[in-house]
Amino acid sequence: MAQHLKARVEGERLRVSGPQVHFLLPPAVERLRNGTTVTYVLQLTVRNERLGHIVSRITERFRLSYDLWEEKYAVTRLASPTRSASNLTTNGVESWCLDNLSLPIADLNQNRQFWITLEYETEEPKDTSKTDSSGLTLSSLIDIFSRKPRDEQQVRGFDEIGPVRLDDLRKK
Amino acid sequence: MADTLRRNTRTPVMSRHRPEAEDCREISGLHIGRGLALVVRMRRLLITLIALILLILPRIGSAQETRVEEKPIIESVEIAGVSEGRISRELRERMQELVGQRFDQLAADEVAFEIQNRLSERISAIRELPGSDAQHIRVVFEVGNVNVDEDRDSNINSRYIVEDVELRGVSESLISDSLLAEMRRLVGQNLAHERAEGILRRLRRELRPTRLVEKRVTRGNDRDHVRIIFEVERAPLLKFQKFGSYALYHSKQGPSFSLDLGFGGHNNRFSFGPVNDGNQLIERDEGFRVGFENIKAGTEYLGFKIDYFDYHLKWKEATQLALESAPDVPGIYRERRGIEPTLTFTFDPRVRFNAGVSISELQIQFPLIHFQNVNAGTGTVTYEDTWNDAGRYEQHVKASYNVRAASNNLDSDFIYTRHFGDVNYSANFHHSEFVGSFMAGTVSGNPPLFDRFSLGNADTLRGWNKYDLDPIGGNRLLYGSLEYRFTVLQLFYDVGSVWDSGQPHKTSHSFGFGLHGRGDDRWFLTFGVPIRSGHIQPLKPLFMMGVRF
Repeated sequence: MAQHLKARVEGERLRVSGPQVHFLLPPAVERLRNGTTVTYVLQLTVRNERLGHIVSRITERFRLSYDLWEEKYAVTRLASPTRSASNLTTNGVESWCLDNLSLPIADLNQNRQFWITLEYETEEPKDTSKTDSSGLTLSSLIDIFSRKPRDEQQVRGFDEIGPVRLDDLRKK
Repeated sequence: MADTLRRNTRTPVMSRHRPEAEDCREISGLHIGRGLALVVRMRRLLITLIALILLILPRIGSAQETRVEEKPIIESVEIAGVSEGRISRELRERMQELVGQRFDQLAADEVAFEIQNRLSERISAIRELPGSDAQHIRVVFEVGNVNVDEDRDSNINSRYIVEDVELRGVSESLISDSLLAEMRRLVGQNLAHERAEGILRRLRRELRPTRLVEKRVTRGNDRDHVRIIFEVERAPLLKFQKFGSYALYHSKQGPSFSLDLGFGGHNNRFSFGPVNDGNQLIERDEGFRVGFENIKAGTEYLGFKIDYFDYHLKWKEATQLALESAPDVPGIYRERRGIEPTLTFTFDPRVRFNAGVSISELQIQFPLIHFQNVNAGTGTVTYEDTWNDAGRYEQHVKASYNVRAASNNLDSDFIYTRHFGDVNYSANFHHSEFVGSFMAGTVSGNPPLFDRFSLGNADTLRGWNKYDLDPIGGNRLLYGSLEYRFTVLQLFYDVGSVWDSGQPHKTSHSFGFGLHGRGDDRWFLTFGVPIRSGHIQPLKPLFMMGVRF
């Protein structure tokens, strides 16, 4: 599988980008263009191996809408402090979301290789259970298992990069 | 005529581009030489052009692929939520350092951190607002809870005024006055996303189950105005009745599976799949099913279905032993195959009527191998409905009654009439769910083993093994079940009895616990404990697990 995701270290945080990583896809785009708000959940996970155990993880929620007159996207990151931007193109809103998703590198071993996975999915309107970023807990397990079958309208996917080392990402 | 032609061909335009034939002949040698030179030069030019295109095109392509949108330039930086007097000169200068720079998340975070430190108040939002043109933005740091308007924040179109609210596809007379008034109240106001969603939910409730409703927001006729359109269309009256795919395991009865591999279009579905099921009946069916279904046979009220099955049977020793002491019950058979054409009719998506015939052939094992027919007329009525209140609670009920009548008129070797009814009800509220079910059945006459009732499998009297309860089933059935579920955890109590008319019968109970998938029970993992003669036997629990897909 081609790796479209790119990782870099900025300051003390690990960030990702990827001009070819597209998560703004139908049918979410159709709902946005019909004036509906769509919430995306983006999750960045660092693992010691491709399918290994989780070293670090962050989950952020982004609420998107499409300006019917300007024909541009607006986005709000639903965390404190909230961040928002408007007048963005499709690529612009995708890269804005990725810019606002970062992990502290303090938890990562400088010399060890690791894998980074970006997962994305649209949130069902009444499903507000995915705000926990503290990893796998009993309550998150209950939430995962008790979630009702997914809507056909849902967009989900992932992209990954690895193996990488922190030192190599710094050099970039 | 010739003059006319000559005159026409000597028009100035023609003479410049296309010399007459005589002239061409006179200068042909010269022209050929020049032409060849031109062709050679053109060829070189063409090759150079192609090479250039081949060199440049991939670069353009890759440039497009890897092009990252440049960050906009900050036109101004503001703080909202604090009085001007509290913003020190140093802080103002620090903010001004961002102006003229391309937006940088880290730099903005650093300034936000300084603002928090100097004002001793939390930053609630960092907003990138449109600037004077597409390349410029304004950055606003909001301190404290400044104008928190969830609706406005969540949808950019909330700044536009609602010009009109339109209801398409249904007469307004079908909508309550209060809802129509609520819709009209949106006009002239800023678009309120949550209010519009609330109206959509109410419309769906009022028009269910015969109609489906969707909401769209479009541009209005005037700039900065929008229109809300609620589009209503008829819900399909009939749905496909699938065999269903599942794989399950019962610790006493072994594994069972059925696959429903289907394909088709909007109104037609062809399905087929292997079956190896020891769960549903006293027999274990091994074979396949093939079916075709149409849900719009000329009219949306009518559909038809035709199924064919071919099973090889396996029997438990307990069944064979029990048959030896029950001479009135027909014996075992090794093969069962049949065809079941059915007509389906409805006038409301909640109610469905099925009428058809079931033509089966059994290969009877004893005393000599021979074939017997089981031909029956069948009829089923099903009612299914769901109520919900804006996602707060949901209730679902499904009830059905089925009759099978095998008679001499249909050339059947088995003469009997079988009635069976069941009701399933569930209500869920947030993470809790209550499930209740009830079944009753009776058979008069002499049915083959597959049409006798049994209890004690992965779905009924969980905790009991049907071969321990009644290995040849019975012609009377009563069963009930209560279940409480909290998210994925379940606790249940089952009670039921299967017996033959005129014989004494005893009621069996069981209880248990387990895990299950929410919604449509896509998976389950259950421990059932039988209660024998009023005593719990916890050391003999039965284990069941499975997936349905």
